[in-house]
Amino acid sequence: MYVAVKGGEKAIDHAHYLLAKKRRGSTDIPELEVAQIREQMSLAVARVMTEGSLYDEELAALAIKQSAGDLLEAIFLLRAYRTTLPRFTESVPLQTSEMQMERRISATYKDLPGGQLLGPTFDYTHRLLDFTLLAEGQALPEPSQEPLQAEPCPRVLELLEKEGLMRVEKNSQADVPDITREPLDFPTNRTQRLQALARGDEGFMMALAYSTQRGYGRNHPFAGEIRIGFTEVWIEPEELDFAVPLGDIEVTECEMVTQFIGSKTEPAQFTRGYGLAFGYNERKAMSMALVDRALCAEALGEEITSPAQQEEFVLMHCDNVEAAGFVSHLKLPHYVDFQSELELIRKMHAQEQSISEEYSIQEKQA
Amino acid sequence: MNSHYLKPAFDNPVSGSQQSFRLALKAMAEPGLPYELRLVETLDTLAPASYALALTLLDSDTAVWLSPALDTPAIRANLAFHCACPVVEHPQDADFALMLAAETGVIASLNAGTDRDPELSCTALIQLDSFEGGLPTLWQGPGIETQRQLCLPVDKAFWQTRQAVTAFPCGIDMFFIAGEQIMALSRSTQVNFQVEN
Amino acid sequence: MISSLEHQNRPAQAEGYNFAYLDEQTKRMIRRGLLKAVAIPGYQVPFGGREMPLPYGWGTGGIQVTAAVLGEEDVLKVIDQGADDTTNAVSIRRFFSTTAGVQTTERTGDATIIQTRHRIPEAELKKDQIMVYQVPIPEPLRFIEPSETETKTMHALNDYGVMHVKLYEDIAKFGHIATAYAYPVMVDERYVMDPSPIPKFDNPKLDMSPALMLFGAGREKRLYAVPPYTRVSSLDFEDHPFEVQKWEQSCAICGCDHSYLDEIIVDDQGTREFVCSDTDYCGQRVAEQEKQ
Repeated sequence: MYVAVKGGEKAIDHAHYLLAKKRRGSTDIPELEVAQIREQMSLAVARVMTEGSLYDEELAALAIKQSAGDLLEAIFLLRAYRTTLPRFTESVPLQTSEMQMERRISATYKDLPGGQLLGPTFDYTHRLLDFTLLAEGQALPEPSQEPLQAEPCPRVLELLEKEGLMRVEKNSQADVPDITREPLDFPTNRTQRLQALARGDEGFMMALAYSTQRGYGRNHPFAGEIRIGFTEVWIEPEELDFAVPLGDIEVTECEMVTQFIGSKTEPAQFTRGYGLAFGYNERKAMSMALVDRALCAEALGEEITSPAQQEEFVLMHCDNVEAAGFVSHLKLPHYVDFQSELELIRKMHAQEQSISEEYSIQEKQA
Repeated sequence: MNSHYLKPAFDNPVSGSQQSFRLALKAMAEPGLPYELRLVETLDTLAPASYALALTLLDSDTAVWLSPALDTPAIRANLAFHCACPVVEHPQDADFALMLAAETGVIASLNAGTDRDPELSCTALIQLDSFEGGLPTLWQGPGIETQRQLCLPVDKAFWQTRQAVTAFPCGIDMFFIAGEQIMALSRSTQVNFQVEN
Repeated sequence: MISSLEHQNRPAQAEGYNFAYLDEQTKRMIRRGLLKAVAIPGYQVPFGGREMPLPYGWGTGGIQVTAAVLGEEDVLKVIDQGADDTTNAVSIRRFFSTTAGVQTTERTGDATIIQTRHRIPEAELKKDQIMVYQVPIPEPLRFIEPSETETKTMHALNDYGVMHVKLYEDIAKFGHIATAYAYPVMVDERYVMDPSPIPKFDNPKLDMSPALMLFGAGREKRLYAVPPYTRVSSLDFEDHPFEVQKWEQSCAICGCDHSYLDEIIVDDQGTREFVCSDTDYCGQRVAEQEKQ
């Protein structure tokens, strides 16, 4: 006689034990410190903060340690933590024009006020595995020039605005929505879209951005400006009549210059796509800017022909916490519903069987 | 800050609001059944059960309209302190409207939602002296197994106003409060006057 | 074998969490949404769903609803596929034990709140019981029409033509409606609703039930409800009326011939046995039989 299997609780407890073992790996090797991750995996930390929607390098590093390097798990941890935090005010908009830049480039001009500052970039490295990194205690190479920091300088797109060639983004003065407290409703506005894209999955966004470059909703982008550095966060509490600074955060900002051929009422101008990310996070900021511009298609009266331009498609699928959760939920038991499907298919087979039996009986009789 | 108006809220805010909510949920799920909600005292012209519902349902995300009888400094001070809910001047801007039976004409101005977004409607909290003594009405619909007879002490004009604002799914959901008792009337409930035999 | 832990004594609530994990503002937001859902039976109310410590798709909607309604005096049952001991049911029950310190049970009859994934218990529900359903895709029209903008309009206009066409096409192709679970229903003759992926076998239990049915979709951020004693009818056609599944077999453990049965493969040759999906119902029947 069949005896029902029990023991779900014990199984779960043991799974947790095995996970802790796997995360730790061989105990002959020193345990990773959160500080090491924070310092030496800063780009992973940047991604986790950006998509976790929480600027805290220490917590992001902890999440990365806890998830054994699975960045989407780490992002989930940070989001779940964020849920427990009280939300007590909005900051004043970040003044990225005042940024202490460690990197600033523009593809639209050879030279410009403020200059091109490469900063710490992988861009011109040759992707050859460096086996010397297998050993520790390497001395840093010597710098090849004096330390440079870009002085605050005009934004590239402002230069184009002054010439009347770049569409000026107007401040709508409306209340800033919070998509984490009120769910998206369609059609969305650009503020909501930017929030969703900022915390959206870098891979998904990059693929969509790539698709626009290959003709799925092309908008002729140029990297107008990319800035990376520290910016101050200010708040203006109700009790005070003035703003106070909270501290600095590192952000990556990208403004893409894109095309707009004009309409019956508007002249041809450049338009912009905007991307912003926490930490040193260039690929995300660039991809976000391209997708932001693609999603402006409707407002600009452009024909919507590609996935990157469809706001429901992009915004409902760009959150990797939602996506990972639903994809992975297929692992949960589904045997009750599967039983229903089995019964349905067996019924259909039985019907076909009896039809073909009847047919062969008729044939014999004929 | 008008701190001398301040009265206590729930002894235990977490369980007080949970218990109040469960009663409100039961009430709305089964319109016409009365429930006792006895967790706070009277607050000026606000009955104890109204105050409890306010503490449970109102916060910085809900715009509230107070009728003339309920728009007092004491009530404003306590709602500001305990709920931090914005109080609006125009009933049509409210998510919650608090009133007495004699003031229910305002219901005609409340937001009844739209066919696309019926949940945007305003919810009315209506204070009565009791749940008896009015015209007999028969209620039926979701939450009511067959039908229920109620004689709420509201005038005929009230039922006409309700009919005018109700076009399901649009409508105004209502909580009636009599002292420490609550009863709900969902927009989904059909109300007919009892035919005299 | 019946679990000896049918009734767990109230565990201590873990420190550092608000009761049932959610902060009070989130609870209020969900509570207001539930009141609207109950007033508009079958209509999907959008809500500002939060990230929970369990992943989206694993019951966060149901968990948020339970967390918003749960009180110290409640007795909570959590099932998945009809069983209390499936891993995710265990995980969710633990979540509430830890964050709320509530009494939990496996007995349907003793529960005041039952959170469920994909089944309605076999035992008849009672007045004042609350069922909380975990919902993956709240929109019944989603697989016919992917756009939320479009489906919102259909619900607003009470225009369910696309659904009737789909069901009719099934009949034309297969001779019957080819939906076995998450079978769409009409609530109070107004809204078409997805009853969550319960097998259609369970649909009749929704009609005029004494219990309150609350549905939570965390990832899609929607709440909906069916009040007690509400008409819920499964969509069908006059000449193809709604039918529930039937088995030739009975439960191999308790002999039940009227409950939903799970198929178990017991050897390499694929030999099948059938047992009650509802483990508490099965266990209660065995207990009754042993008494006699």
